[in-house]
Amino acid sequence: MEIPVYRDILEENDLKAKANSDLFKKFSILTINLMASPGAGKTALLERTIEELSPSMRMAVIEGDLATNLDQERIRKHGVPAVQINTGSGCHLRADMVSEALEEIPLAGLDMLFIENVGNLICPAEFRLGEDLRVILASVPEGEEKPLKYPVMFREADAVVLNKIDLLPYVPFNREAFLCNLYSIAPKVPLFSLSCRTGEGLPAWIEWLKLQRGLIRRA
Amino acid sequence: MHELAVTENILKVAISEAERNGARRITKIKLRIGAFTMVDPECVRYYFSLIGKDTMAREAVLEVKKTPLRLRCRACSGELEIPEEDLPLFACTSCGSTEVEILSGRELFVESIEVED
Repeated sequence: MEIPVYRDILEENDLKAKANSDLFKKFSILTINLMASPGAGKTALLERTIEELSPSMRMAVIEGDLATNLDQERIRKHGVPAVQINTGSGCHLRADMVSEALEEIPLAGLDMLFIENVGNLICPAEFRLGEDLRVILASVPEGEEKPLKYPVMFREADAVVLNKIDLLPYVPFNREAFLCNLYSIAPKVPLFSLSCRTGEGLPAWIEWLKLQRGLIRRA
Repeated sequence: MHELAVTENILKVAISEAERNGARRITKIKLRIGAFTMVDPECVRYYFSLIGKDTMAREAVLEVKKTPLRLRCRACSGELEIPEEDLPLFACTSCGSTEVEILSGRELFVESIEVED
């Protein structure tokens, strides 16, 4: 006997993501799912962003890593609440992990929540967390082909950050080819080229975040 | 790796539907997987052979239907299909517009199951 089913394989995660999203809406929190390969500079970007936006914006961070609390400690040094999720062998965060982490974060009065996903451009693509925006971080030493190699991730990005532009004089990186590759996958995605080390290019990213926060408040 | 989580969910959905219908064995699970997803059917089969073996789906055959990546151009209404071996290019091959939307290719569904009492 054949039974028609037509159920989304990821329905359980999507339901939990929806519950998270409802919670963020209730408290008018802008939530960003930050994704990148390992070593692109996700935590560095968050540290820089926190420095620039404190104290006018109240922020919190959820850190996803296979192991260690190193990133949580880095963020806490900046005076921002941070909760570490260790996924063990899990290569991506799931919505239920985020909802559990949310129990440790006071949401009232919070303006922005950053969720730093596990460093990986493949697995997190299919797992919504309830975020408002998905930001993909690429970096100059990774080369210009990342958008072509991970098209699903880049296609669904709400913004792309290109980090480590201070290394442009020292490593082979064809900026035109990167733009061409990126825009062939995501023609309209906002791109912020910056260096977390020197601070070059950061103001545009910060202004964009403030604008997005404003849009959430109005909604 | 994330296919393990995907496979666990496939099993959960299939078993809940089978139980709801009073079935005791699942003989087939029909899946619909879009070409523009990060799910590799071969990887799902492998995980299924590992985690399905102690369940009512232990003898189930996984049938995977793939949906191609299809785009529609908002400018000229043209539709195009991207062959799986090609790099996806999100621009209209007729008029060059980048105002294209995804028609199919993002599906991840359990379409149906076949069961025995």
